[in-house]
Amino acid sequence: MAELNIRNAIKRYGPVEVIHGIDLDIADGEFCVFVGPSGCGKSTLLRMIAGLEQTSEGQISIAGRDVTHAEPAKRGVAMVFQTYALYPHMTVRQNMSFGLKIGGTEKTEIARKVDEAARILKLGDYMDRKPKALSGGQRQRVAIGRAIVRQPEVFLFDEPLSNLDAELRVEMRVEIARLHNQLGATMIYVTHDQVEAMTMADKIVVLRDGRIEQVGSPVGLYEDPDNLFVAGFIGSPRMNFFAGKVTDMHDAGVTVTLPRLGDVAVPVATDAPLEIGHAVTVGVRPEHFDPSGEITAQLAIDVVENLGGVSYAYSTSQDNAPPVIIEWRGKNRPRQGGTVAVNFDAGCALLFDTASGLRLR
Amino acid sequence: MSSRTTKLLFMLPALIVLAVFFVYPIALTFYYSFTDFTGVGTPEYAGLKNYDRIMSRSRYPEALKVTILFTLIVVTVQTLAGLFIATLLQRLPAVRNFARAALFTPAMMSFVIVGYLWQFIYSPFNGGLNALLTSVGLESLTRAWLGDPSTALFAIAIAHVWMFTGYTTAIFLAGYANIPGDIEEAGKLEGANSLQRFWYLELPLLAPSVTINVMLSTIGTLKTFELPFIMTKGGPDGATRTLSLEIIENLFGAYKFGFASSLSIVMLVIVIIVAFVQNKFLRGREDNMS
Ligand SMILES: Nc1ncnc2c1ncn2[C@@H]1O[C@H](COP(=O)(O)OP(=O)(O)O)[C@@H](O)[C@H]1O
Ligand SMILES: [Mg+2]
Repeated sequence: MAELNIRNAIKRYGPVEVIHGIDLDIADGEFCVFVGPSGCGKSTLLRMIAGLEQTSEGQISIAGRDVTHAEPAKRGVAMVFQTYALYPHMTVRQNMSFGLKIGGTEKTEIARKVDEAARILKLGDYMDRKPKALSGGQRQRVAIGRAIVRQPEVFLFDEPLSNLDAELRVEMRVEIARLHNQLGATMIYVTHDQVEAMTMADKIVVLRDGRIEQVGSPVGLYEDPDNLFVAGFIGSPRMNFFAGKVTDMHDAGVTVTLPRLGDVAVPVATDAPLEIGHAVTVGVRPEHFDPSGEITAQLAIDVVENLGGVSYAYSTSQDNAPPVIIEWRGKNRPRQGGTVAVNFDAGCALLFDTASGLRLR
Repeated sequence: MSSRTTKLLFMLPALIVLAVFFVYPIALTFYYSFTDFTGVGTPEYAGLKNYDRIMSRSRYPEALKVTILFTLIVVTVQTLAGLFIATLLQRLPAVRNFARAALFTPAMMSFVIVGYLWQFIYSPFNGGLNALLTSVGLESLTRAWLGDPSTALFAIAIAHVWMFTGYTTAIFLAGYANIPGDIEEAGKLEGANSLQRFWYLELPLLAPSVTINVMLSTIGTLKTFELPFIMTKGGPDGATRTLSLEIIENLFGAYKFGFASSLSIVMLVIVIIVAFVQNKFLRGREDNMS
């Protein structure tokens, strides 16, 4: 078990740079999730930590030891792949024993460790089966078991649940979280699914185009995003963005006018130096619409999804912008279609600079 | 039209081709093998005379022994060489495609060219092999490679292997391409070095390629007559006289169509038995592995 430090890590494939100087510290025993859209470099960064990809520049250290150019097997990491990567010609027991056998561990010791891992993962009944005779979830458990027996300092997971169906995914998510509590090991988990990130992580690292957009706790990222990208990526359904202009300034902040909401004026607190006419974007989460809010606007609703405890109303505009999503709970929910009054508290609104996408606090 | 008739009609072209080019020649050969046909005139029924001759003269069991020995050498050396080269190229992606094409060129040459090329290499006086041995001080080993009954078969086998190793390599490389990269990486992460990955992961996962290679080269080599025909004409002293060469000589040398036919049938039976046994054994091994 160990902490992991990355300093200015850069990855180039020939002339193409795909990871642009990452700085990151992961504490001992932390569950860290790399999240971001497909192709943002999550796997590449994880594979650099594993040693499966050369690090072009910068430094990676595990437990204070510089492993930037160490052999994968000498880094004290174990990896679980999206495709499980089990050895198809070996039984479950042989799969889980292989690394120890190669490393010259004593037979009785191997058997003890493998049995222990099998017990934790409830694999006891399948030890003599080949991977092809197992379900997806069982295979992934074997892959995790193979990682456990090596007692690594850091566990690496690359989208381990993507090949499972939705129900099993939830089940395995809980199981991995349980495993993390049980082992207390440092884990790095890659996913493009922000729900997985929110539910599992101690620390989320949001990546985009090979750069870190923000690092923080799930709640921290949700409530206090640094920029439009993180605000839009974290949270489901996603945050609503309203383009607007600064129309007035006062001591504690500015007043922003939002054309999409019928030119409603919203006072937003900020210390940022702004001028009248500055283009800004206001973010309001769907659940922040609340009938008791002081700001009122009229919106044309075209679709309502009723999920029972909660309804989502969608308001599509003429331009190509994504629809405004409003969450409703309790009674008096809007029905299909029609114009309704929506309310929200100005205090819930987040202010962003439209040009740079950065948060204005 | 009933669907049965329709099906039959659709199958008819394939059935005709199969009958004309496959069943008919074999049936004809089978029929001739019981005659003393000489290529002209009407074949006279000769009973089991041809088969009796094959069994009773030591010449033919000798030829069978030569054929089997030749096949054993070629298949073993070629499979191991192909596996070795493919494993090497798998680890050298920069030269893989070039090397694969280069290794394939001998297979594209005609047997005649390959035969003469190696005849020159093995030539006793100014041949390449003897010159090489002399230049490194191993003059005592020089000999007439194709003229010595103890080395002629091996010499031809090496030429044959040289010609077809490219095939074997290509098939093994295709097998390597079928091994998921994740599995190799998982092995690497678990600390398996290159040799251990080959032995514990790659070799078992190459089982289907081994099956294909051994089957193809066995069947191909059992039937071959070209290099012995060109390089030694079966000599010296019958050391390189394979069963196929015997067939060719009876057919086009002695015009013994009937007898050549019975040799062909024996050959066919052997090929079928060997292919069947190999298939059963190698497939069983594959199932066991995956
Ligand atoms: N071997 C490679 N050669 C060149 N570019 C690559 C290679 N592997 C990945 N990339 C590029 O690096 C970027 C990040 O890829 P990856 O880490 O796989 O993304 P993610 O896992 O976040 O979906 C992508 O733009 C991809 O095209
Ligand atoms: Mg990926």
